[in-house]
Amino acid sequence: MTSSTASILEISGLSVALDLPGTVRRVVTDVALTVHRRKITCLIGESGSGKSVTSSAIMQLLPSGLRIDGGRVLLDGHDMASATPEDLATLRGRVVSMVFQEPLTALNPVMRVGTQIGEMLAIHRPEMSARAREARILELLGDVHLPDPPQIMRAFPHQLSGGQRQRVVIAMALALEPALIIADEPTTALDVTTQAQILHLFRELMTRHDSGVLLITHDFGVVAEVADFVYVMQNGRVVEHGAADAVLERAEHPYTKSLIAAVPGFRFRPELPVADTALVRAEGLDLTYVTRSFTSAKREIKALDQVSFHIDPGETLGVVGESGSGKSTLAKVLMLFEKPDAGTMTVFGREIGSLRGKALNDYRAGVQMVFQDPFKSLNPRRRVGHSLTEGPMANGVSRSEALARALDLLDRVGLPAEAMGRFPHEFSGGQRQRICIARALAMKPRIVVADEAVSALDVSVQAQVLELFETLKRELGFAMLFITHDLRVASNICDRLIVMHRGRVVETGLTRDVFTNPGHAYTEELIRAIPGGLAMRTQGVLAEQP
Amino acid sequence: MTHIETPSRPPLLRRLASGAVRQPTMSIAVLVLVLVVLSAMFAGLIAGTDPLSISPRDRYTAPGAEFLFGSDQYGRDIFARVLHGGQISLAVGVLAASLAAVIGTLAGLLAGSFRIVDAILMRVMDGLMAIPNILLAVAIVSLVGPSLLSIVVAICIPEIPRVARLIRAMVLTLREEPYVFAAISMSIPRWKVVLRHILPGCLAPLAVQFSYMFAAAILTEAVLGFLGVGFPSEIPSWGNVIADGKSAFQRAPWCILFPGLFLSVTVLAVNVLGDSLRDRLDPRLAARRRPS
Amino acid sequence: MIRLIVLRLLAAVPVMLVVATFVFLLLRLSPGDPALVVAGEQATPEQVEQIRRDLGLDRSLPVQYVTWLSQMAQGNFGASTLSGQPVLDLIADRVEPTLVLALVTIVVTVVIAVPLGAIAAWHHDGWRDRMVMTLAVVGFSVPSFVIGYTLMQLLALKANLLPVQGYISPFDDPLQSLKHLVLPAATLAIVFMALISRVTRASTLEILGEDFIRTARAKGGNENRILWKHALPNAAVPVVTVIGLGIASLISGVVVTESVFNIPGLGRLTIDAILGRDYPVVQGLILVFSLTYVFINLLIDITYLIVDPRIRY
Repeated sequence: MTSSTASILEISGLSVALDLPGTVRRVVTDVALTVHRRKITCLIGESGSGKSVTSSAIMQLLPSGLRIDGGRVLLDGHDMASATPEDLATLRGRVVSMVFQEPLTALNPVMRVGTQIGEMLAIHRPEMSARAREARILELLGDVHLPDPPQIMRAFPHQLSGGQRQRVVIAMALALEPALIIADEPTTALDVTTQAQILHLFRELMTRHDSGVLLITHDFGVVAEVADFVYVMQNGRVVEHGAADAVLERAEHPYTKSLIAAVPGFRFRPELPVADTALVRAEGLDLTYVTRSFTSAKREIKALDQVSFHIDPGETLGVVGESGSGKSTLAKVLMLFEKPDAGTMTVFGREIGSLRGKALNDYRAGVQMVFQDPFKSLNPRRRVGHSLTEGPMANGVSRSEALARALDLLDRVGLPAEAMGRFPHEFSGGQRQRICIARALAMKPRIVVADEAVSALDVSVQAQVLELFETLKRELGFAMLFITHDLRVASNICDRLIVMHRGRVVETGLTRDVFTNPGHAYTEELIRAIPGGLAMRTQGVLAEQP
Repeated sequence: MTHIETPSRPPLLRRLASGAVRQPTMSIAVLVLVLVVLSAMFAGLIAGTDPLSISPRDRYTAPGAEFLFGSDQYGRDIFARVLHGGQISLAVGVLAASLAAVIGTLAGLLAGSFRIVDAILMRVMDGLMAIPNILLAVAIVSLVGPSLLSIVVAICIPEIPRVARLIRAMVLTLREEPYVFAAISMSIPRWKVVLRHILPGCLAPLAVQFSYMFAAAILTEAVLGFLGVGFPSEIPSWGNVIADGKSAFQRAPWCILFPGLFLSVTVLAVNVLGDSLRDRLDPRLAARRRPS
Repeated sequence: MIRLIVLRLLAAVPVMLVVATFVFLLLRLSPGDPALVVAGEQATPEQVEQIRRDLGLDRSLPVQYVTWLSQMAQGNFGASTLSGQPVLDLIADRVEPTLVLALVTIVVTVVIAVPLGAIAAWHHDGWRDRMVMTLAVVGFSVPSFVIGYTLMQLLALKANLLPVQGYISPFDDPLQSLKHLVLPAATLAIVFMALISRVTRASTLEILGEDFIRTARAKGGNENRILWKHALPNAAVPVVTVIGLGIASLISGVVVTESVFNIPGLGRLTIDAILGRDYPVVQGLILVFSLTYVFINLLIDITYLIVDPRIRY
């Protein structure tokens, strides 16, 4: 432990192959990478870049079908690529441990949290007494700043929040003070405020335990926030690496440049003239979910609590907030998928609760939605052309008219006319989201509701889809309700924002005002928690943009 | 990883076709089934003899040139009886499984769509599940009397709850899919949403369930025959041919062996086919094969 | 917790009611005179009249239903038309062999099939997996009476290792009893094992794909621990559920197996009653079997409530 910045992981020439019937495909090619003690090394890339496969290869936890095809993985002097199962049994956990993306599923649901941490000790330190083990578990739970360790120790995973579970996983990874901790997108599934805390926890613990961290991420914000070194992966190869500051400021490889440029920066929009009549006007919406299953206690969740807002013609109203803030419920109320308990919502001049028959159908056509998951938003068994024409035809549009409209929209969203005859699985995620946008627009809506519509997409694709929304809005003149947890995305596309927290609107205003001069402590906290911080965005990236 | 199987799935038929090539067991199962079906369809031509013709002189003849599969206590040709029996057994299997699939699907769709119907219908299904299926079938047939209709109905009733539960669970999952929400938001009538966006998603698991039910129905018919409440001896089925042979089991084992073999091999082929279908069509299992 | 248990108990009532209603309708809706069916073939016209009055067949269907239901609820299942004995007494006399056979079968099945299924899942697509799955699909496909006769032919008649048929109570002669139980229990267990090993494999396979298994593997140590300590306890819920649901098919199997091996249990009673058109006995047996099924599944559900931490709030 004397040479505090010595390298603990050295990968050279690593290749991973995927065996397919009759052929072999390389998914990772000739990767070289070094991790030092007391340093956070980030491995960044988009989906399919091979970053997660690389991290699994270090642990020898490759999914079936994948195998190491060449190269060396030197971990603290041991070559993992040629380790026997017996070697792995002692190396895993003791020398290298891992933190995964999904804290909700990473823990065994029927085993107490303390037992799961203790298992690490029981495997590698069988000589440890039960009492000493318990003391160590309590110490670890304290290390990751969990409140009341004795109680957490006896808890089952489902009794903890996502952030708490991720802390438990980290405590488990730290149990034997391993030389290397691999964290695969450890904060992607968490809310931004929790994400910031967890990232700082990594830095704190790494220093205290004299370990090195290999952090896998897709987010350059995370890199800017915590990384010492960064490796950029594309199509299974490392295309650029270096000190994080240097790469962020003077990226050389075009792919790195495009990735950094695609990170939504803060870009505020010119103010719209104030309209006379709002398209949507909601007053005092209340909605409480009551879950009354077999459990004795009936649980109430206030999804909407005295929510009021309005949308002007042609504007984009952003709704930002963390999970559970009620922002998706708001969309459901507007879509008539949910009925509020109290309050009024007037859309196109009519109270929507009382709509029936034809008026209801007309209203529905006027408000269309784009969903989060492009893989589930299209019926996998129907051709794209059918998805695009079904809605208009059900509403009395002739077949030829619906087809013409669909072709026009496909062209507008940048897809060829042949797409009509294909099935959704023949398209990429970004392309599917374009089809979904076309499907919504085929109804000639006056309002488009986009619920986390770009959250599931890679950053480069995200930027393109945001651009598409912008163009279409200019050409077709609809208004948008844009729901997102990502403040950077919101700043790019929204004219006005409402910030929601636990079912309440805590702040509302022009996007620029909300960011530059937040009026509520929670908004301030959200902005502070943005990885990379406000400063990095505005100076580093945006200076180059027109 | 664009060339690995994509998560969503191409049309049903193409998946099945490519499955047959990749899974030799499935092809063998299909081949066996085709042979059994053909042998039953052309039983008269192949067997040459009348399955009902009695010949007291030839009681319990061992398998040989005269009687390929031997003869029973009345000197009837077991080969002919087995082939003709296949007609009845297969027909009962197909009819009972189809009837259960149709009724169960309707019940499942209703239960998955309307909350009140759900509460009542599913209690009824729970109740039906509680009655052991053989007992239920035996009771129905013994009260109503054996006929093609009564036996098909008796075998189909215990299978209905399984289909209903399956379809209901599928409906509850599928109706949370964003594309279903999208359809509703486009004011597409509810029945069209169910028919176009929900029902097609249920077909793959239903196909798997159908093959298992077909196998189970053939078995149940055989058990009914074995217990003596199935078709009368003049209408041979695999079940009652075995039942006729059981008393002379020690003296003339071929009376049970050959119909038992036909029955077992057919049911085995159907079950293997069902397993292959499930492996090909069950998205959860398919997903597991796919490295992510 | 107690609230939950009470709610589960209440949920079983409508299920039993459905079973009872079905049994009631079965007789009334079938062709022929219910009184004749219940009275049996040897009954005199006076006896038939008596039964017609007892069943209330001269009154409306709802009235009949209420009368019948209250009789059943009081345990008044009527008397056998063959022997004249009360149905419940007949059932009580025959319950022991069936219970012994079923218990032995369940124990043997669980002890063998659960580990087999888990091992198959652990070696997914390997030769062990294929072997277990092949055995399972064969066990699933061969009718139990064919298995029974084959075993009898091979082990009892040819090899002369075991008694051919019959039943001896374990309270009279444990050794002989065991010998008589081997073949019928094996016959029943083969079918049941096919079911349980398939389900164990499927649910273990599903659990093995979960994220927390990867967490467990990242901890190092012996990999077998992951199967037995992490995967199997999580797979237990679906497996136990299927064992509970499988009781219904086990009961069906008992009816056939007892008939093959000439065991004087409830299964034989059922067949004799059906062939002898002894409707009160058939009706009583269906109710008793279904009640047992509901009760066992109720027990399993309540065990979950107590054992599974996820249901505890």
